Amino acid sequence: MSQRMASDNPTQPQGNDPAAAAAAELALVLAAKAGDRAAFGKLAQLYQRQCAAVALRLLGNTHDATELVQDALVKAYKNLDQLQQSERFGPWLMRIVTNLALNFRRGRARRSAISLEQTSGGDSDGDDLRASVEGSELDRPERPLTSAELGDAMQKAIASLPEKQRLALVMFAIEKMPQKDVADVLSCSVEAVKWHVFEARRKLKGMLAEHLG
Amino acid sequence: MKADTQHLEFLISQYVDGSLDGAAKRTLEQQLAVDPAARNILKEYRDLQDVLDDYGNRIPLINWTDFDNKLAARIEKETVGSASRIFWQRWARPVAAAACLLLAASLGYSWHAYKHGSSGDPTIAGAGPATNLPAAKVVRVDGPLADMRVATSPSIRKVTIETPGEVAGNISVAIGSPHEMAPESAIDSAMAGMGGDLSNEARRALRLPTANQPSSVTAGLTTQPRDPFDVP
Repeated sequence: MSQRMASDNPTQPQGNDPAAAAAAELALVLAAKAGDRAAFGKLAQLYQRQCAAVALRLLGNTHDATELVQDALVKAYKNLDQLQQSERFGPWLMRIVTNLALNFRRGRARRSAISLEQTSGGDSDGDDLRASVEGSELDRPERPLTSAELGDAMQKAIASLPEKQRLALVMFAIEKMPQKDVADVLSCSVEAVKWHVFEARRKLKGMLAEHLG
Repeated sequence: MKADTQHLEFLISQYVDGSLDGAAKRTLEQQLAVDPAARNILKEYRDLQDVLDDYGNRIPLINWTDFDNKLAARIEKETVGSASRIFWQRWARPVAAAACLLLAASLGYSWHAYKHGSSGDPTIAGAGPATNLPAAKVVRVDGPLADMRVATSPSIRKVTIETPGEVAGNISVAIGSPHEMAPESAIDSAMAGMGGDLSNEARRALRLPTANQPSSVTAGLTTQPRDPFDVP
């Protein structure tokens, strides 16, 4: 089922004290850097949902998104020694995810991307939006999409945005990542992130005008 | 005018996010209070963000336990494979280089031995006792001398073979390498004292070696005991 619960937010994984959570996460990163696979497993659990959500928005396909997140996490584990700021594991991992996703999109230019709505409305294998919506009481959405057409149109509109605008919109306006983290991922300033988000919104507003009424 | 609208929309976009602070926020709120167009723009951006939020709240069901298990398996597999690859990346080149050097040295040694072996230290080999024939010119053989092969080189001018026993059988004399010309004196000194004699044909074979015709000749000998067996 598809509703993302508030408790799923991986940016606050360790209770209510952000400082304690950050310290715990840093300890996990350091342990993972020392070769502790279990520690890395916990780190992965902190971020895999958010990574999958971003990958899903960028790829439009759950299977591809989860496979990509697996690739990203394996890559992250193998390159942990290259993480200079251990306290910035999250943005670093997200950069890996977004880079892989962009490469994946470029690589599958001739493949027909299955949109979230197409997947949920089609007869696919169930690893899709609609199947998940109908599949579990636990993850039932708080409110449904306004329409199937709107979800499809949103996916297509987002996919048509320029790269940085798409990434900024997905990570900040949809996945609620902090602007500083988004800036890290995009290697730009916070002001630039704000501008990319604004430009993305402005274009979406034009593309979805008929749906937004 | 267009730039003003764009700037207003930019401010409203940040206002919707709650990231507009201080004086800019107060100024925008004052404008919104008196400007219906600005309020309309704000409504559009809020509606859009509502749709984005709704869109973002929809995450397909993912079996995270299965995901975790697959991830753990992949990390174990790929890091072990990676360690193996790192080992080979680290050692394959040195090992290959060492192997190449060894092979080259071996080939070089073989070639050297082929080129210079028969013109180097002369040897005696055969069914009977065998003795190296170094620069020294005297070869002592304990026991009967029979079926003996004497290898020498053009630099050897005199060969003395000392044996207390009988000399019978085939004595093969190889002088120099197949590509070296045996000096007449060496042939004479090698054969003259053996009690046998070289035919003219055998002598030509020794004097005119070719690649396919080693500069060696076998003379059938049946001699009486002679001590010392001296090749003058």
